[in-house]
Amino acid sequence: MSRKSLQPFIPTLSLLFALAAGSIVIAATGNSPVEVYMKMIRSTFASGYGTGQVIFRATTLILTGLAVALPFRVRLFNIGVEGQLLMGSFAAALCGMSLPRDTSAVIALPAVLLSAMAAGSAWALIAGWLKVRYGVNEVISSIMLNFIALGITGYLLTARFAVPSTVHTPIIADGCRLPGLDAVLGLSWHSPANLTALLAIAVTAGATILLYASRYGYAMIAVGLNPEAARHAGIDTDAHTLSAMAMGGAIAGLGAANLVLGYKHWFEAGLTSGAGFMGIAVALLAGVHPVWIVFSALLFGWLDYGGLSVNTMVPKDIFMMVQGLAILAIISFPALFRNRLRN
Amino acid sequence: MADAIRLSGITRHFGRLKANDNVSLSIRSGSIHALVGENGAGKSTLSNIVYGLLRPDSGTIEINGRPVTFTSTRQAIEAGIGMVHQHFMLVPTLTVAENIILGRERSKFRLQMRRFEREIRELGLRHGLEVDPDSLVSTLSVGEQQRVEILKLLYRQARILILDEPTAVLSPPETERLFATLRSLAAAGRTILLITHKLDEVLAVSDEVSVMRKGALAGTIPTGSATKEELARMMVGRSVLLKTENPPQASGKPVLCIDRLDFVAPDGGKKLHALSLTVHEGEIYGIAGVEGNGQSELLSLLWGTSDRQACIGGSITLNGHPILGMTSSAIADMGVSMIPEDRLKSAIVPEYGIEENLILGRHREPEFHRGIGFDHDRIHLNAGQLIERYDIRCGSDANPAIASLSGGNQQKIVLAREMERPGLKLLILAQPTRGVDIGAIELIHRRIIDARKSGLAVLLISSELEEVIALSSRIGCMFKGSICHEFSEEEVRKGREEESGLEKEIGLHIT
Repeated sequence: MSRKSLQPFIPTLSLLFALAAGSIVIAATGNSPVEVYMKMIRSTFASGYGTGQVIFRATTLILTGLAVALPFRVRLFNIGVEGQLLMGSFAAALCGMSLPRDTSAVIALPAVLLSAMAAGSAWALIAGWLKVRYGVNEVISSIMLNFIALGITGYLLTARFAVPSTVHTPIIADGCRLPGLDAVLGLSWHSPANLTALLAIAVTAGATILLYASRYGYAMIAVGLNPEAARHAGIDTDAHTLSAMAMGGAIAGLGAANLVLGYKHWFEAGLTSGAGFMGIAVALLAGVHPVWIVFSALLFGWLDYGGLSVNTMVPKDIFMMVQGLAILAIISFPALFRNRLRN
Repeated sequence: MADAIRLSGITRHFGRLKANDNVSLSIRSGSIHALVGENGAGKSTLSNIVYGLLRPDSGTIEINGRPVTFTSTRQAIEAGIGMVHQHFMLVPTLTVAENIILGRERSKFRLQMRRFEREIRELGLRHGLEVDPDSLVSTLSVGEQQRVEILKLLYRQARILILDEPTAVLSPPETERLFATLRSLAAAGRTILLITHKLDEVLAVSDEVSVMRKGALAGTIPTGSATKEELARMMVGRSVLLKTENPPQASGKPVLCIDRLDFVAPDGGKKLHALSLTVHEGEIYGIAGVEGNGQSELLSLLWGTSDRQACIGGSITLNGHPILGMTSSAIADMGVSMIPEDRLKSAIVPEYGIEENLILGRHREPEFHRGIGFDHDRIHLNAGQLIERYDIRCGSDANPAIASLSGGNQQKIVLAREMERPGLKLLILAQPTRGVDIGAIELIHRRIIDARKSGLAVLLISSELEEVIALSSRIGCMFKGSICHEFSEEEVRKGREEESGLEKEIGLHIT
C-alpha cells in the first residue's frame, strides 16, 4: 500500500488505536472495556438527554475547531482560541446584562452576537498584528494571550461584575437568549443543546464555501501553501494573515452563543471548561477540513460526555487520555508509516 | 591507463521511475570526464551512487579495479572519492583551515594549526587554489568557497573528485580559473567527474564526455571529436536548434525608465547604486551579470515586493507613470508581467493543479469569475488553450498537480500565464531558462523573441551570457549594483556573429 492510499485512513486508525489503548487502561482498573463502552453508548445515543449533551458539547467544539482551522490555512497556528472564547463569552454576558430587560430579540440577539464576535476577533488580532508587524510567533503570543484573557475575565468577574456571593455575572436580558433544540425541533430532551448547534453547522458550511468555492479561499490557500508565490501574484499576504486571525477569533467568540446565550445565560468561572484548547485537537483530528471538524467535534463531545456518564465505573480522566492518544497517533502515524514504507 | 571508476549495469528505481537504467561507464584514471544530460536524466542519481549516498538496485561498481559496495559516504571517502556539492557544505563561522580539517583533527594544539595552515597554503599554490587559511569562510566569495571545498577533498587524499554543476555560481573568469585547477589536478593523476549541463564548458575542459538521457547512457565519446550540436542531439534525442533566429527590428518609444535607482538593505548593505536604464517598445534589454550584484533587489523594486525597511532612492516609471512603491497587483494591472528568478519558490503553488497555477496572479481578471467563485469552465478552457499554444507536456490526467511536471514544463506554464496577460506592455524575465531542459529552452526563446516582435518591451535578467547575447537587442552589464557598461544595438548585432569575443568583453565588465 502506498502512503497516498493510506492517508484517508489515518484518522480512523488513530481513533481505533486510541480506543484500544483506552480499553487496556480500563481493563487495568478492573473493569470490562466492552461493558464501559456499551454503557457510554447507551447513556448517550440511546437517550435524548444524552444525545443533547453530546450535541451541546460538540457545538462549542465545532466553533473552536473552525477557529483553529481557518488560520491554519494561512500557516498560522491559533493556540489562542481559549482566550478568544473567554473574551467573546465575557463580552456577550456583559452586553446581554446591560441591555434593558425587555429589549426585543431582533435587536438584542445581533447586538450580543456581534459583541461576542468582535471581542474574540479583537483578541485574535493582537496576535495577528504582532506577527505581521514584528514577526512575533503567533503560537507564543496567542498562548500568552490565553493567560491574559483568563486573568482579565477572572479579575473583572470577581472584582466588578459577579452577583454577590456567586461566581457568575447577572443574568442576560430575555431577548438575547437562544431557544433550546427541544423548542425548535419539538423534542423533549431537556438537554442544554440549543439553536447554536444549527448556527455552528451554518458557519461550517460558510467556511467550506469560503475555502473551497470562493476566490478569497483560492488566494488564502495559496498564501498558506506558498507565501512567496502568493506575494508575487499580487496577493496581500499580510491582509490574509490578519483576516484569517480575525475570522478565527470571531468564530471562537461565537462559542459564547452556545455557552452564554443558549445555556447558562451568564458568564461564570470555568465556563469554557477548556473547549478552546480542545478545539485544537478537534481541528487536527479532522485534518483542518471544516466538514470533518463536525464529525471530529461530535466524537470529542461523545468522549467528553460519555466519559462523564461512566464516571462511577472508571475515572473520566481515562477518556481525556483517549482523546490525547488519538491526537498523538494522528500526528505520529504518517511519519511512522513513511519510515516503514521506505525500508 | 587503468580505469578509476568502472560502473556496470547500474540500475536504480525511485518508485516506478527508473532513474538509472542499466548504466555502464568507465572513467579513465587521470582524466576529466564530463557527465551531461537534461534535468532528470539521472546524472545526480548516478553520481550519488558513486559517492555512496544511494545504493543501486543492481549493477556493480569498481574503484581502481577493485569491486566495492558502499553503504555510506564514509566508505566512499575512504576509497578516495570526494564530492563538491552544488550547495557548499562549509561552516561559515569557522576559518578556512578549521573547515578543512573539520572531522579530521589529529591534535588539539594550536601549534599544529600553524602547520596545517602552511600545508593548505602549499596545496593551494600547487593547483591554483589560493585562499587565506586564516580568514573566516563567511567573508569569502563564492569562488573562494568552492576552492575551500576542493582543498578539503585534496587534504583528505581524494583521488577521484566529483563536481556537481560547479560553474553554476561562478563568473566567467572564476570559471576559467576553476578549469585551470581541474586540468592541473588531472595532470597530477587525479580523476575528475564533472557533472554539468553547459555544453560549452564540456567542450572546453573535458577529455571524454558521457551523455545521459532518461536514465540511460546515450553514449560516451572523446571530447575532441564532439560538437555542441551532436551533444545536444544526444541529450534530447532529436536535433535541436541551439540558436533561435533573432532578426533586427527598430524599437519604439521608451516604456520602462529607471533613473538613478539606489537600494540600501536594512543591514546597511548597498545593493543598488545609481542604476539607470531604459527599455523601449519592441526591444529586449538584457542585463548580464553574476548573481548577487543587485539583480534580486532590482526585481523586487520593479515588482513592488521589496523589503519595506530598505532605503530606496531614484525613480522607476512605466510609460511616464511612477511605479516605485506600488503593490505587485497594481503594477500588474498596468500591463506588466514578471517571471521571477526562483520558479518553485515564487511563481507557482506546487500543490495546486495546472489550471489553478495558470491563473495565479491573474485570478483577479473578471473573465475568470462567476459569483463569488471562479468560472471553472472558463479556467479549463484557458488551460487547454495555453497547454496547446505553449506545448506544455502534462500527460493525459485531467488537472495534475504542477509538482508532477518537469522543470521545463513548469516554466512553460509560468511563461504562458505571464505572456498572455491582457494589455501586456512590459515583460520582465529573470533567469527564464534556469533548470529548463534544452528542448524547452528552444521554445521559450522563440516565444520571447515573438513577444518582442509584437512590440512588447522586454527586460531580461540572466546569468547565462549565452542567453543574454542570443536574445537581447541591447545589453547592460551589471556589476555591484549599477549598469557599468551598455552595449548598443549595433555592437550586440555584430557581437552575435562572433560570440566568444562579445562574451569575453562582457565578462570584463561584470567582474
